[in-house]
Amino acid sequence: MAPRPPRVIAIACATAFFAVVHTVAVAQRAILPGGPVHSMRDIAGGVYQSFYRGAESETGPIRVAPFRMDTHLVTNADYLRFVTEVPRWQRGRVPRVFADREYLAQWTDALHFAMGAERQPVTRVSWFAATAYCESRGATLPTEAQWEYVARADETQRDAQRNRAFVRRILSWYSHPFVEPLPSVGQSRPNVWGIHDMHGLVWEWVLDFNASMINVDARSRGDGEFARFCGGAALGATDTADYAAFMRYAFRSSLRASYTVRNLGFRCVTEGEPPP
Amino acid sequence: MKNLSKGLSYLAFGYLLGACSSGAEEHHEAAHTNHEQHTQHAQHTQQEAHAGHEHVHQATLPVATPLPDVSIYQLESRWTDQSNQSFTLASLRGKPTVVLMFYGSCTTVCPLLISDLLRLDALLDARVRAQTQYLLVSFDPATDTPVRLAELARTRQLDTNRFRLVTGSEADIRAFANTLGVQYRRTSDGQYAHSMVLSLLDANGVLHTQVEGTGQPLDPMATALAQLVP
Repeated sequence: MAPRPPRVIAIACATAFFAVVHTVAVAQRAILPGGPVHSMRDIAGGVYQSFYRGAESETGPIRVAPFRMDTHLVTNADYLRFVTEVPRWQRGRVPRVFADREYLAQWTDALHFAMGAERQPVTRVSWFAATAYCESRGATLPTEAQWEYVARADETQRDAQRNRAFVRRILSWYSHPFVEPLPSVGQSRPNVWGIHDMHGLVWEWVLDFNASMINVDARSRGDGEFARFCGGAALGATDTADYAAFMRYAFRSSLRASYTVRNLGFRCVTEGEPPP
Repeated sequence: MKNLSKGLSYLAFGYLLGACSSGAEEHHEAAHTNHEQHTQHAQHTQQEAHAGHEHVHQATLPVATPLPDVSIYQLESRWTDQSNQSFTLASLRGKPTVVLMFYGSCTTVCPLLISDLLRLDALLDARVRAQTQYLLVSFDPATDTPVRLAELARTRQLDTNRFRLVTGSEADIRAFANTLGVQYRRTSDGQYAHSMVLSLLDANGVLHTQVEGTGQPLDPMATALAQLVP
C-alpha cells in the first residue's frame, strides 16, 4: 500500500520564525453571539493573476470580492470550545466518514491537550471538521482564491510576488522538515492586511480544496487513455516562477476531506461587511 | 463554438481525477477496508439481535441498526429531487445506490455518463434492477432546478421510480462530493470541470466501488450490485 501523499510531503518547520512570545495586539475584534472572541480583518477586494491556468477559459485574472478573515489560525483552545459545545465533533465521536483515525491524535483525550498548547494552531482536523467549526461561528473556510490572494501579501505590499526575499522565505519554509512542537500562533509579523502566519507555521485547509485539479497534461488529452499524472500541471502554469503556489496546489490536490495531517490547520472567513 | 468544444474536451480529458495515482489506490483500498468493517459490524449486530429476539425479521434490521460510521448517509443534508420532493440521504437506506455527480447543461461528458448508467442498468437482471436506485447529484444548483431535472429525466427516458435527479445547497453539494472524492471546479464560462466517476454505495450508504471515466467495463459493478441487493 502506498503511503498517504500528505504525510509524505516534507513539510516545514518554523525555525525562521523563532520570535519571542508576545501578546498580540489586535485592532478589531468581532464578538460572535455566544462564542469566543475572534479577531478578523477586512480584506479589500481585488484581482490577482494565478499561476494556475486550469483551462483555456480560465486565463484571466482571478477576481476576489471583499471579505473578512481571521487574523490568526484557529488554536487548540478555540477548537476545544467548539467540541465542548458540539460534542459530535469530539475525538472518538466523529463518524469515520468525516475524519480519519488520526483526528486530534495529538490531544491527550477528547477534551484535553498538552499544557502550553492553548495557542498552538489546531491541526489533525479534517475538512469536514474545519468546515463545521467555521459554520458554528457563522463563517466558512476561505476559498482557494481568497486564501491565495491574502497569501501574496508581505509585511508592506498586498502583492509581494515580485519580492524575491519573500518568495525565498516561503520556499525555505517548505524545504525544511516539520518539527515538534508547533509554535504558537501570531509570533511572526502580520502581513499588510494584518493577517498572521499565512506562511511559516502550518498548511491550511481551503473551502474548495477539491477544485485543485492540477494534473492537466497533454498526454491525457484526446486519446481516450485516462491516465493520471502527478504534478503534470506545470504545463498549465502561467508563471512557473511561482513554485510555492504550485506546491500548495499539489498538496491540496493530494488531500481527501477526511484526512487529518499534523501540520494542516485552518482559519475562517466571512463575507463582506462585519456582522452587526 | 469550436473553441468552446475544444475547451470542454480539454476539461473532460485533462481533469479526470486530480490526485496522484498512489492516493487514488490508497482510497480504493480504504473503501474496501471500510466495507469489510461494515460487513463485520452488520453481522455482529444481526447476531446480537438474533440472540435477543428470536424472530426478528432480517429485513427490518437495516433501519433499526445505527448507520455505520463510514456511511456517506451520515451527512444530514436535505436534497430536492425532480419531483420537488425533499429528502435526506438516510432515507435511501435499504437498497444499493449508484451515484453520479453531473450538471445538466453539460453537453459533452455528462450525457455519456448518463448513458453509462443506462448501460449498467441494462446489465442487471430484473430482480437486481428492481432493487437498484440511482442518484444523480447536480453540481449546478442555480441552473438545475427541479423543473430542469424533470425535463432531463424525460429527455433521457429515466425511470424516476429508480432514478432521482437531485439538487441541494452549494455547501451540501461540496460536502457530498468530498465524501466521494469527487473534484470539480466552476470555470469562468459557467461550465464545470469535474471528476468522471460512478460510485456504488451499499444499502447503508457505504462506498463499495468506483468506476472512473466513461465507456468503462461495468460488469464488475453489475456483479457487485447483484451481491448487494437484499
